[in-house]
Amino acid sequence: MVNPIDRRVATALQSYTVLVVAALLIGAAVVPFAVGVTTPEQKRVAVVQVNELITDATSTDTVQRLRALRSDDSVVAVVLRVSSPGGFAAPSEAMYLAVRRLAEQKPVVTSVGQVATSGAYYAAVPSEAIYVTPGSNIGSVGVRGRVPTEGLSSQATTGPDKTVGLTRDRFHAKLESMKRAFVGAVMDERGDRLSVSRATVAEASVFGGARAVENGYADEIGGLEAAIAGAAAEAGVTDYEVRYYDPAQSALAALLNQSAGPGGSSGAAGVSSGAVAAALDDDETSVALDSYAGVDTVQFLMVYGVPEDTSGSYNTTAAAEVTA
Amino acid sequence: MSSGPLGDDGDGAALGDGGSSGSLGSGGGRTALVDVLKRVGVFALVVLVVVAGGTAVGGAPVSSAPTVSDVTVESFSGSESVVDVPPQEGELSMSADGDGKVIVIDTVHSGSVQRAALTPMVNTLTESGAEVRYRLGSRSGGGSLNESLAAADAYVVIGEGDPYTADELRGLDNFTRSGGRVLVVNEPSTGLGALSLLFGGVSRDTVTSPLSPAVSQAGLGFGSGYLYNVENYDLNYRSVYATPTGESPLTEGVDRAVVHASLPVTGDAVLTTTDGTTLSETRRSGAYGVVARSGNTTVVGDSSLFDQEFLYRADNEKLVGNLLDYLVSGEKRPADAPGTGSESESPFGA
Repeated sequence: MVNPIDRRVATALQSYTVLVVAALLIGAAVVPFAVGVTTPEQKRVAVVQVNELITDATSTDTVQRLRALRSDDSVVAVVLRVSSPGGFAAPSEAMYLAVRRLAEQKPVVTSVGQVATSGAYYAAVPSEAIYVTPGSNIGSVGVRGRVPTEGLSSQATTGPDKTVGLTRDRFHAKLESMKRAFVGAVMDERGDRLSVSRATVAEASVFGGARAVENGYADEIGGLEAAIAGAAAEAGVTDYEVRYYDPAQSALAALLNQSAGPGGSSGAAGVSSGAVAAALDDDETSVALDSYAGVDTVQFLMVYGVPEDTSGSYNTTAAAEVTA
Repeated sequence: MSSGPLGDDGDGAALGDGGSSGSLGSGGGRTALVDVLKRVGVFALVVLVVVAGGTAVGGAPVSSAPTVSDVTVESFSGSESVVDVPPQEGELSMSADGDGKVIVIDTVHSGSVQRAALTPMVNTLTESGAEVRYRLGSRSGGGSLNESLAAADAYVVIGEGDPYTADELRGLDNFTRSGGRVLVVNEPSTGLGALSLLFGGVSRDTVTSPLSPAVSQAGLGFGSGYLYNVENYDLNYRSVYATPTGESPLTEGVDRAVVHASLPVTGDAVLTTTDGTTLSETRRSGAYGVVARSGNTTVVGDSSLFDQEFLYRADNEKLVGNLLDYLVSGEKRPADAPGTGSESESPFGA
């Protein structure tokens, strides 16, 4: 006596329908590999947009995209389309490292929109060329942060630095260390093109597009099209297609969701844009609402300008920040 | 599956049954083999067609794990990439005897003075024998400035608070002419100095500095903006070095001091910043005075000097010690000068 299940399996295996479906699935799985070995790939120039305040979440998404583009043999060059005032310090440094790593393997060109300053400029400096328009703003090589307050914590702690983490002196030393790394990176990447001294770079000035080309902060006057063409020329291709990526979009959506409620959890994005304002704001209330899940930590920012506080409590007298 | 366009339940059953019973002959075995081959053929054909078709129209590019090579950033890992906090050594002390001297710290014209911030200065003065009084102002139950000055040997004002009245200016002038010592310490603006939170609420946005009339009658003054140096500084570009201009009791033992976001002072400077220091408002580079003295009036462009955070940087404690010596070293005659102020001789008139 044959088991009914075995009989049904045997019947299915003998069915042409089942065989054809299985064959279709296997064939579809093999196609990508077959494409890779049988046909010459269409060369591509990837345009990666950096249009946001740089946070842990946005930089992670962008670095992930850059990593994928690095291993994609069809992508011969990458254009960073930057329109960002910068953001938090560590994510900006991560962006710089990712772009530098990418630039070691294929041409990277930056096209600046409205602004590429501070942390965003940090990300752009490893580029082969930086394209700007006269209205672009570029530069602001420096770090800023709210000087921590010292004193007796109202909470019980196991050590004197448990709440703030560092003394004011060590805060300034850390700020200076980060500045040196930033200025040093700019000098390493563009020192041969800069007509200004290291000390001038450290002044963290912002320059208009034309001036930036003149002093070496940028290379060419031109829009995105010119940057794409320049990137293709660097890669030595004339027949190519352009593919656009906006990797931080998902992270920004998460940020927008958070901004609906200032007291909400930071969630996957880690920290809200309001935290940037909070990091510069002396108003303790807004700090409690907008920083890391309500925890006020010492934040170092690589951002140009005064971020708007989403909670509307920005204090214009918040001058305790230090800009290097 | 019961039946389908390509299915054959009868054959399937026969094959299964035949396998188990062996009732089928060689003709049945060949039929089964043909069926298997047909199915294998159809399967292979479909796979081939799909692969060929997919390849023809293109597919997703091949991705593999990217090469991860070392990225060496010299500025991240070089010998100067980690900045240490400069050593803070020395002790604040005075060499002069302050016994019997009365030092008045004006909390009215200093803005929101918090006494805790002045602890090192006050403790050192009292240890020398001097008496330190805080002037609260008439609105807080205190007397007038001239009444306070009459009982004082030295007068200290830190930061800019309320402006001086003409009568107060006459009193100050008479006070210094009589040998009373005046120390005026200023700051660029709220928040820039270490004592910013302690002397908050003041601003230099006003057209005329409230302290200017008080010091201008001694030929001294304050500039506007703050000093910085992006090439030679102590931990932060706003903390600039200053060195003595020559021999002066105020700079005795001081090789180098550190001032933080200091205002430039005008007059006979005894301490100037090192070359390359820039004034924020003019962006002009040079050596700017940060401590100046004219007779019994001394101006200092930076209140941070007196705060714990900067007190022990470089030779700051020696500079502050000298300033405290200066406060207790005056000899006021008459002892109750300036009196009421109405009869005092003054360039401002009666």
